[in-house]
Amino acid sequence: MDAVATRVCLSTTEAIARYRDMVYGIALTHTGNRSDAEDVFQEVFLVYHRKQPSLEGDERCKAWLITTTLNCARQLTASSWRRKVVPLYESTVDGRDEERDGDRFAFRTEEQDAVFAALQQLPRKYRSVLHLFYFEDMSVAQIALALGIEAGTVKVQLSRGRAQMRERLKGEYFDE
Amino acid sequence: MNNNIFRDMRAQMKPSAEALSRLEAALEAEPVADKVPGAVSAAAAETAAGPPPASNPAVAPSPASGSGAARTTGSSRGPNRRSRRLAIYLSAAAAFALVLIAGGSVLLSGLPFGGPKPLDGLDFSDSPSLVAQAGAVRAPADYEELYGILEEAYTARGGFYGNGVMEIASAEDAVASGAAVSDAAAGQSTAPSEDVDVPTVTPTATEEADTAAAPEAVAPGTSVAADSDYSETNTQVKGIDEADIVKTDGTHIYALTQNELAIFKADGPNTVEVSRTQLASQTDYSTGSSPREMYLVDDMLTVVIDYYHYGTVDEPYLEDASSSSSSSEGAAEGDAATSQIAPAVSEETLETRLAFYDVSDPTAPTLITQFAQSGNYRNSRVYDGTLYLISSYYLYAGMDSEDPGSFVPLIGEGEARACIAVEDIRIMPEVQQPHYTIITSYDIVGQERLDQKTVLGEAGTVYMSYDNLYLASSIYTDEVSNLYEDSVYTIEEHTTKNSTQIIRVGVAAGALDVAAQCVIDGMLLNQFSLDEYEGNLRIALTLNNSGYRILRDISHNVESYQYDFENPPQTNALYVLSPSLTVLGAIEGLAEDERIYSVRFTGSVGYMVTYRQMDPLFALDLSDPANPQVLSELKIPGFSAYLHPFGEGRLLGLGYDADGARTDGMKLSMFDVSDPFAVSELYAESAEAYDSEALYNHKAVLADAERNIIGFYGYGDSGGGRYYVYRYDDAGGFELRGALTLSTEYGYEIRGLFIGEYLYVLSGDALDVFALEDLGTVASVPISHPDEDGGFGKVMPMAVPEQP
Repeated sequence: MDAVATRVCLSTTEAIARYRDMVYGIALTHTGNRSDAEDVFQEVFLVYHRKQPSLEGDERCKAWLITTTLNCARQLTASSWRRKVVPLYESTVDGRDEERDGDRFAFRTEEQDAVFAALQQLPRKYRSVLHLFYFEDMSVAQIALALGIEAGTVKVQLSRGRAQMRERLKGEYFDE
Repeated sequence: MNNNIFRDMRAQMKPSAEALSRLEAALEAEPVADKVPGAVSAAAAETAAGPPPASNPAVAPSPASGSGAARTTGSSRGPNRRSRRLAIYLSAAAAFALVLIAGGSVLLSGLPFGGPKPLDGLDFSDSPSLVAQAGAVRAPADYEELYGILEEAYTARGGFYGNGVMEIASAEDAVASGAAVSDAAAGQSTAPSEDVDVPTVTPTATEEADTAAAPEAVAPGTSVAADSDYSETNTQVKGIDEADIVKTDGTHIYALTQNELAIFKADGPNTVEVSRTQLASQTDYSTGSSPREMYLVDDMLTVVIDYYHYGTVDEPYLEDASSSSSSSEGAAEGDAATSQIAPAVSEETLETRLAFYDVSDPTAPTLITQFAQSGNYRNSRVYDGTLYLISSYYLYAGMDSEDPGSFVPLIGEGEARACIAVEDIRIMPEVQQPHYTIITSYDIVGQERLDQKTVLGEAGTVYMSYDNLYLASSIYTDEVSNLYEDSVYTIEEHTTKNSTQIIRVGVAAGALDVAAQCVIDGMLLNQFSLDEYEGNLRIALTLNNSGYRILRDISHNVESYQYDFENPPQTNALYVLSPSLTVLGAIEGLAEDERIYSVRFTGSVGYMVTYRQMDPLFALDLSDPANPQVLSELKIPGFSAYLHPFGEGRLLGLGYDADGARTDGMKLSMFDVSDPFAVSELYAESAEAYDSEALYNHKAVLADAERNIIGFYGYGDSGGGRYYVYRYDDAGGFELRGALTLSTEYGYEIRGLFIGEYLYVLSGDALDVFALEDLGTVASVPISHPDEDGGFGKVMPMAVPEQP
């Protein structure tokens, strides 16, 4: 195809510029602490840079970054567990462990911290879908495309994840 | 959950500066990639070549909020009302910053240096101003010319990956379609079953007269069918139907539930499901479809379906990641399906399909025919038996000048596809974007396509009057306005601006005429920001020209950003545009430093809610298009996100209460607008619910003054979602008749409708029936989903391992 140069795949710089917050946000939701999230963040873009995946379209780049971030985060947390490291910050929220406390991501309000903690406790698949829906403003259809699952499945996971969130937050912030 | 919390949280989740510099250092240490030589340095060179961010409008940075504004608004705690847009700005601003950093020290060569200026106070002398420009729309001479235009647009595009701003600004659009994201997925379209290389569509366009017999202007907002006792989809314009996931004809209820069409016989306590039809399916990970919305006209049910097919899938990242990593056991558990989908594809088809089902026998819907057009579903309307379907088509897969199929949208019926004829394509005079909006019209009863037109441009927001379809999209610009040196600093000043492109398409009994376009300063809220009255278009806009400057000390390799405004200076305006989209009249400078939260026009009067601390409701007199005027301004706490005419002289507002720091909930307001010179709030009612789809999707609102019912689904503080039913009278105000518990505890896309003496509420899991008289439950028809637990019937154990 002697076509216009339409390699729409973003350069690494462009990809970072456009998606760094998204990648970091997903990493944070799926690792629960600052340093792991930064490791994942770095890893994802390094892999992107090395592979320069031949993705046609911004949307493909985005989906690639989403799935790669999820994979990296899962691998990292899996290995963390093997090392008996406790990445989730609810155990450190009381500030006993200063090192960990410094590592945890603190939101502006207690309510936001509580919501984030509840999100952390969700099964991974619900967490992914909820994150993309609420934090990335993606629609059900877009999430389905990005994750390669059916829209109906996304809806069900959204609904259940939401229900579990509320269950966990009951009595704390939404039930007063 | 309260969406504001999420948006505020989202704005905080950003990589630290150290993380970024660590990444930057790591990237520099990397050998230059072979596949794309010098990706990073190439980008830097591009950056150096000119003011790159200016050519990157779609990224939509509003750097004024980069570190100052969003934080400031958030620091007061409580739901961040402004964060919906700010969150977007924030991430985009950060993105923008990084491009510049990567540009590094070579950035400044080639840019003109202006004289030094004092650091305080950017020059905003050309602040919000009227710049509506009308221009001629034309068809390209042939595909060759079209190809050239696309080529140029591609080249010129810094990053025209969809005009995200407007979609995001309008939550309805963001959630329902989201051009910036899903539409961007469209790539080279190929016919599903055959290769089409010769355009064969016969244009049926005729030069229609601009004289469709418009019905008498009617007050919008009544959702009751004229001659029957049941509610219909809540629409903006009376008589112009909007697609939804639930429809009724008064005897049956039709519902899209996951990938199926469920039909119920609506009979109060004896309500039963009479049929279930599979509408869409997913054959494998790369091919599938899903129904979006539908219409019901007589016995014809038309369903809009998204179809996608990705040709080949690249090797998933997981493979080499796990081979190079010691933690492959982590990869093995859970999410296996997800990780297999490395979304690299070489060919893809994204289509919007329109399926016609004969439902004269509701127990056995029959598929009559199916039409298709390239791109993602964007919006639609039905007026007078004609369906208008709009999709967005992005070219991502490359173009072959020899093959029009690679750069011209396809259209067809059944399995046949053909390129849109060149005479049906329109080029906009100012804004050249390498993507299409495709508009088709159909006779529903005859199941035939009447006309098609394609414009090079975007349709982020769609509004339809009886005579015209208006497509609006947002354009963001960021320009380097000044560059100078001061002491050790090199200072680069930027001004940023949001403007809106509007395209008017005449619709006369299905014939489409792309008649006019303009670009005007400011950005729209949603479809209610647009309204046609006596041939003129009224448009309400928020203007937020802004600016920032970058201070760079090259010798120490540091740079910092300076924002002159904690919040971008905002103001609001209303314009009256002629049919050729030139400005007839304007009201400017409304509500400084606030922005529009809801708009509603009724006849010659318009209502506009802006918000910062208090909620001013403006009543605008638009009877003289050349001289629109503010009639009155009412300030009340909180704000209304949706306005609905509710009987004679009454305007219902659904919104938020601003009192209380954290959990201020929803608020219902009833305004007396019988005297537009003295609008008043008659009653305000704090609702238990703190959030509802009704606040951003008018289709989720059931409101009928005649039957005196206001219904919406909301999330309450007492746990679970409820369907709230209110009534209103001038003597006693609002009365909560019931907070109905549904079969679904936590639902979304919940719709309530009434038929006769019963209220039907459809959730994903059930159709619950209540007697309107006392709101007692009379029936609950469960909706089972065979594949509830996973895409392909497999449930993967996904639990997070227990903490030791």
